[in-house]
Amino acid sequence: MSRALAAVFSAAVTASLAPAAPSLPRPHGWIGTTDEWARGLGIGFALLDLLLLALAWRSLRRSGPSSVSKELLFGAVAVLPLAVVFFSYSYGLEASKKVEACGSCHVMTPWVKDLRDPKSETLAAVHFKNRYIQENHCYTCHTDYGMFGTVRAKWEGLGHVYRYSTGRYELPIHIAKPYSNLRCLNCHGQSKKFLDPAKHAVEDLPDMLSGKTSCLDCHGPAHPRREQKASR
Amino acid sequence: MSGESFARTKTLRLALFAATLGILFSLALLLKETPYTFVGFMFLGQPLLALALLLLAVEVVRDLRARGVL
Repeated sequence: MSRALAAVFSAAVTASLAPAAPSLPRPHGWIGTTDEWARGLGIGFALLDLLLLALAWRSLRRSGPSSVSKELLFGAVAVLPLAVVFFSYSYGLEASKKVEACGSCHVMTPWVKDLRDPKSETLAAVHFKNRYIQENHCYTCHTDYGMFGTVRAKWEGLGHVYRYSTGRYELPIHIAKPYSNLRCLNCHGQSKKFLDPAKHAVEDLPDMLSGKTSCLDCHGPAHPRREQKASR
Repeated sequence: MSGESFARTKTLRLALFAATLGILFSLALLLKETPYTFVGFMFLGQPLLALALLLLAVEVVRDLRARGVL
């Protein structure tokens, strides 16, 4: 029994560690990312818990609430689910930040398509193709910084899923509120290029910081305009 | 099986059922992350696991009372 469990656990971890589409060779000693480990361990614990639940069910059916069935129940209902929830959260929260997660609703297809288009010169595409942002491109630019920024982004994301699932949205979709300059300045604010008076006049900075002047006024568009999207 | 024993078994079976469903929601998220599996885990999987734990706790307290420990 313990060998079978070890085999299932090991298979789940190995399967989750296998890279989907390796583009570059992994460095020597590569053992996977935290996400991959969280996923593998989560799957392993979930399978183990399902097995314990089945055994507890059988024991309960055969001999009623005996000491064996109680022990199995304690493990399957009170202990292992804690590990499963922990790893599901670890994996789920990180995976929900990926471009694939944002692009899984078909209304987002034109945005994601433009983002990945090497010929596109929109701000989002330029950031993507030059890897100015390493990963989680949508999430990085559309989330306010700090703890509450993350919480708000998750909450709004749930709202997006609700509206998409129930069809409570209008086309064409548009950003809910004006894009905050602070999201741009979090990365660019201290850069030499931004602070160069020849690029951004000192007297203009207060307006930029207050949001009166949008970065996108000069550096946009961030995404293809409505007519461009329609022609794609 | 006495009436009390039947009720206890029923509560424990309900806990098992809720835990199984909760774990299946978690497994769905771990196998394929989509907004739907994430919402399913957040709003169905976790409450089901909490319900299972609550039912088990109720049963433990009931058992301890029957033995005169509590």
